Amino acid sequence: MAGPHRDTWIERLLGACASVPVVTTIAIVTVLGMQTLGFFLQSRPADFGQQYLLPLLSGTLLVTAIAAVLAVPLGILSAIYLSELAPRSVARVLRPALELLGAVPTVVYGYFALVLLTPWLQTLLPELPELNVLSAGLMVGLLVTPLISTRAQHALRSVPAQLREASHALGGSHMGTLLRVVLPTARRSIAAAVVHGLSRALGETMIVAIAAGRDPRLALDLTSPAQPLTGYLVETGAAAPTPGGLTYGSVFAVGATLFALTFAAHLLARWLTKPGAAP
Amino acid sequence: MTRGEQVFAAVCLVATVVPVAVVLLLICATVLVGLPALVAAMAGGVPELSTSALSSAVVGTLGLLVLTAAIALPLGIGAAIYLELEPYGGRAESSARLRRWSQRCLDYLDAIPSVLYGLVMLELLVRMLWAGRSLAIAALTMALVILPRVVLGAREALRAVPTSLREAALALGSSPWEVVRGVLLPMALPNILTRSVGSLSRAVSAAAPLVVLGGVVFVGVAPAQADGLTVLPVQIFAWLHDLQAGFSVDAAASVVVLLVTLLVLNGAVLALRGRLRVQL
Repeated sequence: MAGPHRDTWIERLLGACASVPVVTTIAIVTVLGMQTLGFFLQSRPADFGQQYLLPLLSGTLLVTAIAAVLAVPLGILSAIYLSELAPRSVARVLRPALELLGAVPTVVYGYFALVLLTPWLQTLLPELPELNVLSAGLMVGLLVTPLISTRAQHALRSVPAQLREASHALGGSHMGTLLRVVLPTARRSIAAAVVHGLSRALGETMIVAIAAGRDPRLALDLTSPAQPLTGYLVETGAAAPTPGGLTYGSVFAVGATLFALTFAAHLLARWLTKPGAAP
Repeated sequence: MTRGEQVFAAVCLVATVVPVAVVLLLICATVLVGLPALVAAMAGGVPELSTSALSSAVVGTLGLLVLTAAIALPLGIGAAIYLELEPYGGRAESSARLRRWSQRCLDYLDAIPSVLYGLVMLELLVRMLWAGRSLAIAALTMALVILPRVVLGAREALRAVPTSLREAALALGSSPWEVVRGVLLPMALPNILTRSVGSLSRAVSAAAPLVVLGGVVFVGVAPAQADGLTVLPVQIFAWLHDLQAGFSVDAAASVVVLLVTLLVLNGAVLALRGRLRVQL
């Protein structure tokens, strides 16, 4: 029989494993915070805001918006199909197939965007530059569709069976129940799925670094290059700025902004899934 | 169903099929470019490929995979065990607090873009100047990136073991750790491994943190000169970044290699899982 001393040792070891996430979070927040603070002591926040932050935010907004236009409808409609309408044999094939889309490495999506999609789009829009926000945004949308779809499927399946059965008992058809009972009930969870997917879209890095643009530009034009926050991180980080310098610090300031945005989205998604007024 | 409802159902079907079809098409187009070049290079013909860069990238990727697994799996499984088991008694309150915070942090960390991990490791690295240990630092970074998913998968696998088995072992006088070692882990291991593969695939295909780290650690993001350490996703990025230099075939070939690697990795684990299935 094991002695109490040996077990305490093991418990401490396991506890150490469990504390790694906590340490990591503290490290991330601390490093980002301190570097950003140091950066803002060196340069003026207003300058930084105008020259970098605003263009980068517009880039992020553009990419996320394009991705959303593609991913939100496809994600939700495919979720409806896979969890409510598809025959079981079909769903058994299509569901993993859709999930595999999320398993494709993002560099590969970047390749698709730059080498395959952009030339094809250029046949439709001859003035499209090689680096543009449209290709990147569409690929990000493809990447994010399975994320939204999987979570939305889960949301739909979580609707209590009693509600469905009650609707059927009152004479509702399958489709009618779907549209009038299931969907409205799952509203909040579906919204959380969308928030989650869009948060992934705005954090997406490689696709935009490869295909969207290399410099921060303030533009709201779909066919021009644009650089989102994440693209700036990769582009500037890859060029190995000297530690302690202004460029180095700016990378962290942008990183901190990205962190704040994704954190806020995460909190929003959690609030939506809280068992509040509606399931 | 009314006519309108039929249309709606059809639209939903299209919405499901179109993304899959499009991606399949894109993959085929890539394979059509990359595979012939790969075959030609392997058959010893005049290579249009930078085969040295490609092979060093493959080696780097495999090395990263093994090291990342070596770090992330024990950490993740250990944390999952701690989070999943009831308090051992004694210092129950402090351990409950650690559990709560650990789970919260895991949720937050899962939502953070992986680039930021690279950024933070870069700063910590610069402070400590470990420039020589590049693969280890990369593996550590990726291990942290995938840790939340590994823990999640391991917890689900542990939870799937029937509580009756756990309770039976406890009733027979085993200590909690003996229950874990003798009952939970052997039964949950195949599941844990299968779920971890997805996370490990992510570790091998995510380039962003490594590119950010690469400014200091790896020998440049520029097309590798067969020196220096690199991994497939970073190499692909480097080639795509310099597309004018005519690397699109190399990029296509390495995309094929990367996809094949992932297929083999996932396939191997699925096959192993059948073998590891404990006879109950």
